[in-house]
Amino acid sequence: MGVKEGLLALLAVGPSHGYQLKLDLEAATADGNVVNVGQVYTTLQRLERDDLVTIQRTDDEGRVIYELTDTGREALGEWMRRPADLAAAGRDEISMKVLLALATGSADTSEVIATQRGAAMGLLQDYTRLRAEMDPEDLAWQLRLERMVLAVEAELRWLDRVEDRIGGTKSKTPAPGQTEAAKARSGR
Amino acid sequence: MTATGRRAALRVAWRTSRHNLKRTLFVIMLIAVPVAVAVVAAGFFRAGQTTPEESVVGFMGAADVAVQSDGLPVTTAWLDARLAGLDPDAETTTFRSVNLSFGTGVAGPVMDLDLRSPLVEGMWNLIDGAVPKSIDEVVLSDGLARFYGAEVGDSVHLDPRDPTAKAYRVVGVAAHGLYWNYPAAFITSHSLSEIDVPVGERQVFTLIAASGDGVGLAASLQEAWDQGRFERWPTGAVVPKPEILNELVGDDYYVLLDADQVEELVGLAQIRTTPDEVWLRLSEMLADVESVPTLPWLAAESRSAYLFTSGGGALETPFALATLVSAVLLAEVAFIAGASFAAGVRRRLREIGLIGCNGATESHIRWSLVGEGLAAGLIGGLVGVGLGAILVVAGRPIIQQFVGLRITGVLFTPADAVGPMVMAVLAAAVAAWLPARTAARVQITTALQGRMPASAPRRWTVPVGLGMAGLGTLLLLVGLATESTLGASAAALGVVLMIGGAALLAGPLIALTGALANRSPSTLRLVLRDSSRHRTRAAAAVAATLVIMVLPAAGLTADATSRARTESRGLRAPSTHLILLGSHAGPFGQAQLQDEDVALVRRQLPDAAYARFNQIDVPAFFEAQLDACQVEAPDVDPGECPLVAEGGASYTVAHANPDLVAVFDDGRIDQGLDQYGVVVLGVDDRPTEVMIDGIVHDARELPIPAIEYFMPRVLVNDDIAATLSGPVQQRALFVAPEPPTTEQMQPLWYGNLDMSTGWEDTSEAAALAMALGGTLLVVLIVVALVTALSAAESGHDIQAMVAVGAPNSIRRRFFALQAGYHTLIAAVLAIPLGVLMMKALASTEVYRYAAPFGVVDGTQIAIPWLGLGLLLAIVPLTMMVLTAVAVRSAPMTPPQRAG
Amino acid sequence: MSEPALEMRQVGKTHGQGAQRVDALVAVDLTVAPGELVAVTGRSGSGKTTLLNMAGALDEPTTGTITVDGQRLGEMSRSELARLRRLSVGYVFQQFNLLPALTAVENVTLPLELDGMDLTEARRLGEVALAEVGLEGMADRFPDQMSGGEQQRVAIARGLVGPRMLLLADEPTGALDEATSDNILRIIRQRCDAGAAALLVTHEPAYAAWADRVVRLRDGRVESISERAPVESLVETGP
Repeated sequence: MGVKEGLLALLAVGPSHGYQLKLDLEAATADGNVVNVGQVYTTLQRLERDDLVTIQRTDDEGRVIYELTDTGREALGEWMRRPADLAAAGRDEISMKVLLALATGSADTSEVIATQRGAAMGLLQDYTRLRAEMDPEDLAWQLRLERMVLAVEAELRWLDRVEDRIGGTKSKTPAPGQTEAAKARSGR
Repeated sequence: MTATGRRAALRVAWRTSRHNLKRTLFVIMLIAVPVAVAVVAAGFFRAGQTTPEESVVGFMGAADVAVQSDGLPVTTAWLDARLAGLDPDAETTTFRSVNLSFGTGVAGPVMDLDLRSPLVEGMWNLIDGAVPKSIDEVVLSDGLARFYGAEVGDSVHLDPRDPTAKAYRVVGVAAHGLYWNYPAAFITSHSLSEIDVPVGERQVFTLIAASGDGVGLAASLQEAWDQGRFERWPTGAVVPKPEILNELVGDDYYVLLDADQVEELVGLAQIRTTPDEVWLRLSEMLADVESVPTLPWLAAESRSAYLFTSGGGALETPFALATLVSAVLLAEVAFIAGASFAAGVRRRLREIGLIGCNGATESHIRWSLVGEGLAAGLIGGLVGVGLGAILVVAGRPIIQQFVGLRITGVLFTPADAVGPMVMAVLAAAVAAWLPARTAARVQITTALQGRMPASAPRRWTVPVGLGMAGLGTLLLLVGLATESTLGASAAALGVVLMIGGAALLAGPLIALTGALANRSPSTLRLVLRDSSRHRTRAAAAVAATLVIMVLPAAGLTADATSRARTESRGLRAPSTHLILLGSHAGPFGQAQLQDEDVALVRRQLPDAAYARFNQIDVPAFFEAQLDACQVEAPDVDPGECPLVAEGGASYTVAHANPDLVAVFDDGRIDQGLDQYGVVVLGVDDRPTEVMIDGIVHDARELPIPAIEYFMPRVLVNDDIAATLSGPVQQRALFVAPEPPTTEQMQPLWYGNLDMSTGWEDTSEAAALAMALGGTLLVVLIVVALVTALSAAESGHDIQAMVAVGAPNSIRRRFFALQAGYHTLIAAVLAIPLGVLMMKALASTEVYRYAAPFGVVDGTQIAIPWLGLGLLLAIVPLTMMVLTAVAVRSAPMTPPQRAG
Repeated sequence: MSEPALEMRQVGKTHGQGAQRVDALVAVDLTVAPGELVAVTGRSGSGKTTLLNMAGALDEPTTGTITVDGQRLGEMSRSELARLRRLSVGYVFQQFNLLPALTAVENVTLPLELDGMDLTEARRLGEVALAEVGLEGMADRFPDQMSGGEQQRVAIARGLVGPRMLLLADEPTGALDEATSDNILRIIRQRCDAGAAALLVTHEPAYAAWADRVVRLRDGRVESISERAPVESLVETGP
């Protein structure tokens, strides 16, 4: 998922060759690690095989210029219209770790949470610092960073929620009925 | 704290005042009004004051010596001759003066004064027209011209009651140097002798500009006159008058005595212990004399002597008056302003926390808040002074009319403003002080949350409050016992302390009643809690009301006490009664009732029932007096009993003829006379005893109103009358259906009659109504101010209540209950305080006497339970109702964040 | 590293006694150096604000020592503490930070004036501080003539005016929209990069992330401290 649709989307703008497509893909997604050149060429060949793209010509420097076919245009439209699979988000590593620790008791859940939170916070700090220092004109970068910030924030919120749910069992236990008052008095 | 730090704090204060303009203006106006009142009071006082210099001009114009004498030719001739001898070069002007009634209530002199004489200058000044040149012309004083509505060229009768009197043409208007409303008329110089005025009823003034020493001239004239006065006495007078009688017997009586009588009086004067003994003997000697002769008289006074006796020292009085007036009014204002500051501080608590956060010390915060008070005091004072000055200057004609003096100088001097200004600043600073102190002590973190901590009442408030009230009472007692300015100040301070102590107790009392909140319905609970939490504001509001309510409590007590004392002397004197004794009969004689006297009164009071009766002069003592004497002095004859003697209450007896009984129109009198032979006009329908001329009679007492003096309080039937052997006087009693009017009475007063009348008196209900009405009015003002203040502050809570489903009328109910609650607490504190103050006042009145219907003890007060109870109930209730009517219901908007 | 702007050693705070005893803070160690922005996060009631108040000498710790600007708070009198608040630490709150009756620059110079500084000098410093938060030319506006973000910037300027070097911010963006909040934190960050020290209390991770260090409090204890990775490492992750 990703490279195929990315290439189709770029070719929808106009015919292009393999290396240019790699560069454009990186720029559009604000991601330097998306794909390597080899992968681009392999994917292009597969797309030609499926009749989604066609070779338009070979340019002066001997580079093959690909062009989108009508079938390819149709496939791209269908992908764009299909919602992304949100359900996959619940199966990441962090949630697996925390949930397993909670279920099996194989590790101190609070510690796992704290560690994860520390890591997430560190990442958030990094993103924030990056955001502060980057070129405000670079919209793609901005948006991608914000996507990442929000993701980490969501993770932190989830960790908070987990912590609330498992309660203060691992820390101090104020006498029943005092909790609210104590909190009201001790904090803001 | 550095000066700059303080300046920064003051700057915050100043800016905050300007920022919260509405509240600042409120406090400023609150302060300005009493200051203006004080300045106007000082102006009034100044207008009513004359300096000795002004007075002397008003009395003798530009002259050095003024000689007043009777109009007898012999005197005038003596003066001319003597003056020619003493100071031949002296300038003189002489004029005569006759007092005349120019119309109802307006009487003044007619003078034949030469208005052009330089000696008259300043005393009378011609301000319009010309001096009279013929006997038909007259100059009116401006006061009289206003009274007649006359102008130059008009024609007036100087005696409007006499239509046949001669008409004069007004040729000019003159103004007196001192008096604005002085009614006077001037006719041509030296023409008064030509008007038919009995000698002796006119005065002659001679104004003299001495060529040398005026003091010496006046002294020489007076001395010469006094020494030679025997020569001018009527024949038969014993001359010379013995030195020892000079002080004891006036010349006009002395000339009536023969040689034996003079000798007796001289003997008596030598052995006398009091001057009264000589006087009593003299009145016995002259009992038959019908009129006293008019002796020639003359009084010379020099300008310097007049100035000396007029004295000075009135200059600091306006200052003291303005200070005192503003102090009294501002003391009240300080409470209301205090509530306003307390509310303001609460509302701005977060700001205060913010300042604290930025490193303001407690003293910075206090300074910034007290500074706000100072600013309000200063501006309020200035506005008040300005307002007062404008009122005094613009109101000059009104003040002049009111005071009756011609205002020549300024009515407002900056010095008058100093006292009120100081008081204004002081009051505002005091009002701001307590909230400022409280706010400065709030922890910064608490303040930042914008919530004033509900502090427990300080432990010292109750003992200090009680102590202050006690000390105040003590000071009041001591002050009243000390007859001096210092004593008066101590008494005043005592009253202030008593009120201050009670005000201090308001806080704890609010806290105490606040404890009832848990068991109250929700709105009341909100009110109790709110007042408890905002104790500074609530206590100030209560104190402001308290000060006002002390007055009716004290007033009602005084009224009840005076009623109780009157009651023990008999019922109040009805204003419809009149007792006619008869015409004057010489200086010492008994008035004789003549037919024409009765006819005169009947003419004036045609609707009055009347009866002539015989009064028998024998001492009568009533049962209460006999009882009291029996207890206090069992061995002493009731007539000599000190309790009775001190009150001087011995009542003479009237022979009850059918006419007299009919006047009272009360069948019980006849019954009583039949049954006992004696009826007493007293306070109750009951059997009683009266000791008449040493013999005790059973009698019937009836509750019939009676005049205290000359009233037939004891009526006896023919049988008993026949046994009495005192001197008999004829009297007449008139009972009119309505109290006589002034017009009806005036001819009687002017006539040569001896009378005794009752008086119009406010009923107990009327007194109570007045006390309640006045209190309601002033308390309402205070409550309105306080409600406006707390509306700004408690609005948030109320909107929150509405938001959770309370009816919109909760706002109305909240403020109504709050007004009632504060007023009730104020009443609870004020009423005992007012009674206590009256008790303290009475405790110095150490006298006791047996009145006809009870013993009067000066130290006892009567407590008007009903009146005080009504005060306690009606004032808070009315405040509640009026507030409920005046306050709007809560609007349906969601609560917004306070601040 | 030079002397820390704020140093807390084993700071504890206890309210009440016996059964009512509540530990608001337990043995907290915290240091903020000049140039550092430290964030304190945690759920409601975790003791964030208590910590901040003690750093600003508005509250006293039950145990431990607090040193601000080299001065031990426990040993200082009330007036010395007030002086410390005037000259060393500045506060920024969620909202209502300014005295409505004073202009922007007067609000900023309030602590200096309270300390007795000459008016002209104070005004000069105030204008400098306003310029540093990007509010040139707004010195004479009143708070009600400014937006929420601008008011907050005035508060930051006041927090760091003149000799003040330690900014204590308690949810400074709580009442602002996201873009404005970002801007406020950017300014705080800039001021720290220019040498100031700041302690920021917030429950928003996104805002805490502006800090060099994030201290998470849980029931009065420091649960975790997250140090910022050097920026360079992020930049190098590119191809």
